[in-house]
Amino acid sequence: MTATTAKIRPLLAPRRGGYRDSGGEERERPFISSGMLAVLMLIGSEMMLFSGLIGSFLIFRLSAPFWPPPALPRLPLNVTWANTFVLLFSAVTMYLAVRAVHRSRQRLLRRWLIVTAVLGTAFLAVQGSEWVRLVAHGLTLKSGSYGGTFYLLIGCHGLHVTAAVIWLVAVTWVAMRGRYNAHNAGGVERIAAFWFFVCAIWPVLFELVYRM
Amino acid sequence: MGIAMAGALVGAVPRIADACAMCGLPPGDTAGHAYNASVLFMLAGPYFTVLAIGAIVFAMWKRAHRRPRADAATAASRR
Repeated sequence: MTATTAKIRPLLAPRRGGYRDSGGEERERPFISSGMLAVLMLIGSEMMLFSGLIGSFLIFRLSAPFWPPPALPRLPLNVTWANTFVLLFSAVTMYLAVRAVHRSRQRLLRRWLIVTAVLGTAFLAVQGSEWVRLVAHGLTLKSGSYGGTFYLLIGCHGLHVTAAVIWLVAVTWVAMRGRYNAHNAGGVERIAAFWFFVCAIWPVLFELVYRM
Repeated sequence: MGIAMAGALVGAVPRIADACAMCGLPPGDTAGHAYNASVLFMLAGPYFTVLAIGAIVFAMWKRAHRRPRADAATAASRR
């Protein structure tokens, strides 16, 4: 056996710590669970959805002689900057929740999950209030490509954050009962992956829709 | 002979060699450039998606193989 093979072989070896299937047979645990694989596939399809939406936005934005059109209101930049920090901070608190569950720290896990849910809700509340103001100022879905692309892109992201908050509340509910620990962290890891996705896509949308 | 004729034709009228609607845009054509930017962005989308998900899967695979060795080291130190 060469030195390289000796180095690589332990990496390719199946993971230790298996489980018994319904027939009582010992099986090796896969390095990625089916649930996490499903979430990754969901994230992949969502990335393609946003890629298409951003592509259509770019066509309208780059071909328009004036953006925003003269008669329509400008988007609120300062409030959205603050809101961006709120959402990015929620990614940090979610990371802390994942770290807590990997260390089986129940109280910390609950605390960080609740903080993340509150931050996500705050983000949605600020977005909602801004939308109400924009509609009052005359920017609606029918306000040409400017209004249409704004509500479609930002609304689609808002829907994703809403779904993530609902999912997070459900996970927090289960965490309150002490079901998650270092050996059973799948539920927290899955919502964390989706949460990181909605947080990661937001700065891109913010830069394109609000600042470009 | 045919290739030479085709070459001469394209040399004389380059516009006929444009492969798609976006080729040979006149300067200042914002709509065409907007479509170009959008197409390039959407072309990059699948590659970025595969790279991002591949990186996550690789990180999980790496962590899964590191953990048993770390557990074994902890158990050995306790003994």
